[in-house]
Amino acid sequence: MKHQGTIEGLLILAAAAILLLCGCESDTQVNFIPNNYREWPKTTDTKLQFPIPGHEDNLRKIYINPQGLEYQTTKAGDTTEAGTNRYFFPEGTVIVKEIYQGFNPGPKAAPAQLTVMVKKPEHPQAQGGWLWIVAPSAEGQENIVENEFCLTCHSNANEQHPYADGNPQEEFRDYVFYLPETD
Amino acid sequence: MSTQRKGSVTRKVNLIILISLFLGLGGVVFYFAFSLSTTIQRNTREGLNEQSEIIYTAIENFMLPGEAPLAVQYFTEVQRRSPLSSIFLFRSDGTQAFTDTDTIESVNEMIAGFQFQAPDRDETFAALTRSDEMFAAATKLPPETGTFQTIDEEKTFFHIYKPLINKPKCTRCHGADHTIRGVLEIKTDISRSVQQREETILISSGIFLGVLLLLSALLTRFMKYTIITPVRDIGDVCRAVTGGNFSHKVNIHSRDEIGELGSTVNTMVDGLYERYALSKFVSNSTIQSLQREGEGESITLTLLFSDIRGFTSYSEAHTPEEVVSRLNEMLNMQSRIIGLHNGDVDKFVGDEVVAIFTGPEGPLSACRSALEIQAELKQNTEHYDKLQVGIGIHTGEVIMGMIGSEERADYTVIGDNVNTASRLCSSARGQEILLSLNTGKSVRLHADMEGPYKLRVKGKQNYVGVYKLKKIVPGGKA
Repeated sequence: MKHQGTIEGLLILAAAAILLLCGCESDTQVNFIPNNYREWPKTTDTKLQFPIPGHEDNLRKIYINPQGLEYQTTKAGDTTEAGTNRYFFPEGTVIVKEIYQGFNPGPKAAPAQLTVMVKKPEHPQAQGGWLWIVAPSAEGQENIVENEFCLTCHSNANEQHPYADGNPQEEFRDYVFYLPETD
Repeated sequence: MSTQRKGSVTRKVNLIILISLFLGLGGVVFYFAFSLSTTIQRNTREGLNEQSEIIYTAIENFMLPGEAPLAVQYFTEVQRRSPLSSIFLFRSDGTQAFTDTDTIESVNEMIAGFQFQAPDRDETFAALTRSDEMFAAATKLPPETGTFQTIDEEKTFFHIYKPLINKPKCTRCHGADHTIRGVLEIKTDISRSVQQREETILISSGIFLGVLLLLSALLTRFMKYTIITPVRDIGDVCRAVTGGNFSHKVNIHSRDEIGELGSTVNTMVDGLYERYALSKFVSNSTIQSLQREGEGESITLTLLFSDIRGFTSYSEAHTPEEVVSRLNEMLNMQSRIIGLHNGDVDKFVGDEVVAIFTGPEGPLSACRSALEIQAELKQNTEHYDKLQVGIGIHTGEVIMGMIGSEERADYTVIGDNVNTASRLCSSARGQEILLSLNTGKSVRLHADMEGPYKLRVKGKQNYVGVYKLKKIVPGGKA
């Protein structure tokens, strides 16, 4: 009986360890920034070397994964809603914005911070259909931004704004200021 | 001791009731009051947060067309309509916005439509400042909306710090070199809400105490009537029985376990009373024999026979009531004395007492009994109508057993030695105590005796040796 009890105890410990490992593995899988994101196309050729609220006097470089280039456009009149064009990025779109220290960080300088948009409409922490993520680097810990700070500014992308073409028609651009150019 | 024990049980029962009610009711009331208080607090905060969102959106919409003075007018209007709320706008450095004349004049130059009313340059304006941690959290990146409470002049205020973000569309007027435009503070007097929460807790506590006391009293009375009082009654009956009083009975008020216990105790008391009453008519040896259910046995013991002298003539001279009364009195007196010396009245035969004394002390105990009986009669001779008894004592082997028919029997002694004792009694004159040689030898070290004398008794061929007992020497003879 004692021997049997020992085996049962070991089985319970093993099950607990497996569950723990599965739980840890599940956490580490939340990794949206690949190391090779710089191989992705940039959303704009414009050198983002001017001050903006949120990132202020720091250089930005923005990359989008190939999947994001497949964004859909609904032309005015195509929908029952009268109005302007509407743009929708597909689920799985990842947009990585590098934030450098100052406007002239030097050719070999690494970004001070990455801010990332990941299209995940079903995610419980998604805001406007996007997960808003902050990370120190591609290898660093990714943290989902839970407040609405990012969303508040990026909501302006769907209205007239001072960047790119300024969105004069107030098109819905899915919270992205610089729509990537497609062929 | 018993009183202390009763009080202890009552205290324990009351304590258990009080603790049970306190924990049970207290848990429910605490949960109720806590939930209600939390709900009030949450609703208040949610309402104020919602209010701050509305004000924030209004400001944003006033500011975009360049109508900042309208936003300030809106603040004023909101405060006028909601006297409990105050709205302040701070720059990100913690100074209050729209308070210095230079800034207002420069802003007026930039905007169209409504203009700010700049204060007189000579007028002193007490501008507010904010430099606390919450304010710092609202102006850092990313900014955080903060809430906190303060108490001022016995009033409770709820504060919300709502950061005003310099959105891209705001940069046309405000520039793009900063992210946080300032912080909107909404300060609301929530004293009524706090008071409501306190009243909720107070009323809940009052109800709890009231119900606790009421239920405690009801349950205590219930326990008293159903358990404690019946148990005390049972204890009282047991104590009365211990004191020889069999008239006390447990009052049965219920048919539950306690009632059954009381009924059982009453049955037990009845049984004890019957046995006690029986002992008046049946000798102890008979009662013991009923317990033993044994056969006859041969045993050495001391027999005491006592007989009233001249009782026949006494009976003829007195009424039957007087005769029975006097006889019972004398038999009772002799029984009591015999019992005091561990003797057992075997039977009464008319005015004769037959008693037995067992064990090595039997002869001496019988002698002491006989001397006390004679002393009692001598001291109270008038009381006993000058009646006297003659006593014979003999020690020897007898047969003890259940003697009689199936319907009626006595556990008694028979044998030649019984007859010898009876004969000695018959030969003893009033106030005289005759001992057989056997008994005399047994007590010679303790008793003053005369004799031995030779005595011819009925039914014996030879003379019987006898002593006349005079007294017992305390501590024995030297």
